Amino acid sequence: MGKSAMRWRKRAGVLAAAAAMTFSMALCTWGAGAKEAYTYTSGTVQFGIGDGWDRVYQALGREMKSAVVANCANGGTDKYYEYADCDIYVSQDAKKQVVIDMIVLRGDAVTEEGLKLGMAPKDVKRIYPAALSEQGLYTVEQGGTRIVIDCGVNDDKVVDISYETAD
Amino acid sequence: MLSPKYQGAVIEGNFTEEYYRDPTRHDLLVIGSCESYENISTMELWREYGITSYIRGNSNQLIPQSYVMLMDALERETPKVVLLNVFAMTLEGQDTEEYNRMVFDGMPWNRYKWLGLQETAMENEHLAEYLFPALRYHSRWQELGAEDWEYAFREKPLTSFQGYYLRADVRPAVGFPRGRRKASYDFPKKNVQYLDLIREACKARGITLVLMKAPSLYPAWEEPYEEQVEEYAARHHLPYYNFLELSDAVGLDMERDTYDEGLHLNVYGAEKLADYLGRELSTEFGLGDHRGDQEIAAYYAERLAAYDAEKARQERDFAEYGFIRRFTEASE
Repeated sequence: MGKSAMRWRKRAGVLAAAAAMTFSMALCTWGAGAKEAYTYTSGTVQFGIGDGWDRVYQALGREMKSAVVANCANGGTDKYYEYADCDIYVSQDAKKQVVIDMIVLRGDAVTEEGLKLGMAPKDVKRIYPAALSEQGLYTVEQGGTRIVIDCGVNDDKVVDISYETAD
Repeated sequence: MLSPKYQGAVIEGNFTEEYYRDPTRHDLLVIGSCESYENISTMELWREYGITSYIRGNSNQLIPQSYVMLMDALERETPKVVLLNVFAMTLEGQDTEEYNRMVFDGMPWNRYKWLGLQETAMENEHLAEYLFPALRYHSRWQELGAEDWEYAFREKPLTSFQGYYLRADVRPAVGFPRGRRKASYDFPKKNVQYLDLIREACKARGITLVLMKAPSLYPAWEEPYEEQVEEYAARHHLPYYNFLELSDAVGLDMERDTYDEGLHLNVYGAEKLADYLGRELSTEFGLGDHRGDQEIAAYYAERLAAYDAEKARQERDFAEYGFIRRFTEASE
């Protein structure tokens, strides 16, 4: 390889690095403006979709019940854990870390915004004004996550509250 | 060298390629997701009824992928019956790249593999990485283990028995969480479209298409799913077996016949299901007994011996350790 070709390669490398830095800074700026994801607080621990499971499990302690729920080869890493106030579903992400996939509230659990099971659809609309409804299912999205609130087929009271990844 | 070898714990990545190593032809071809390859013992079908069969199933195999498996198989053979497990009708798309890799990596290139990749590749998957696996797996050089070196230049041991995944451990069924209600339970249009293609491909070749729902307890098989399958089967005059409803007739005991708390059957359950299915296939669909055919019988005798040995080895493992250390037959 000639010297001029090497020089050109070096310069191209510097330009590429600068472009990548500019792009990543733009991404950071954009990210700073994005809304925060929904989280749930159980006792003293706050967590949300995509969070590592180890930290949350240590804080919550032993579950009342758990089961493997992977329906295909996955080494048993898709599991659900049952607690008094919520069911938590976990699986492995692309980096093989066990993360939270879904949270389903139970019993007297209350969302951080103040919704709990048994409340009326009007409470859902008051607490989550942006919620979209379809056949008694109310969905509100924020920061790549969503809360799906099931008011039953009769659309008369909250029977289920789930935290999930938004599509 | 760099491609995963799927020996040891997760062996399902071998299933697609093992089909091409089978020198026999089959009267029964089973297609579907894990509900197809973990719930029917092909060896029991042979032992009790002399039925030749192969399961072309993979983890989370989507309906378009089952179509690809069928059409690829039809290039080599024409079975008398195709049995499709319908659970995957509920699936919108693929969950992880690994599942797609398990389906496609072992398949030689042809128009169907190309079609399957176009139809089911995830957003971050690139066809070039399937054409040139080194692009995808180049970083594995840091993780290469003994099995990578061992099987880089020699044939891997078979991990399935005519596509059946043998498990001899026992974990009784537990209660599963109820699924969240969905706004719509309609099967995705693409799945219905590919089910139509599967049906038409069978009809054009005089193959009987049979639909089945395996007795897996989770994910829940909701009533609207059942209604859609029943309606489709009735409209097209297809036989349909829902083994959740036939569980008692089959004689399943989910305290003993499952290895993962009700998700899949173990070998004891899979043999019961094969006994029931074999009777139906023989009497209702006329599948013949090939035990008198010397060449075929010799091949199956070899596989049956391996099956019995692997079952006994897993039973010893489970009795001694409470779990099974490895799932490949050549592991001792």
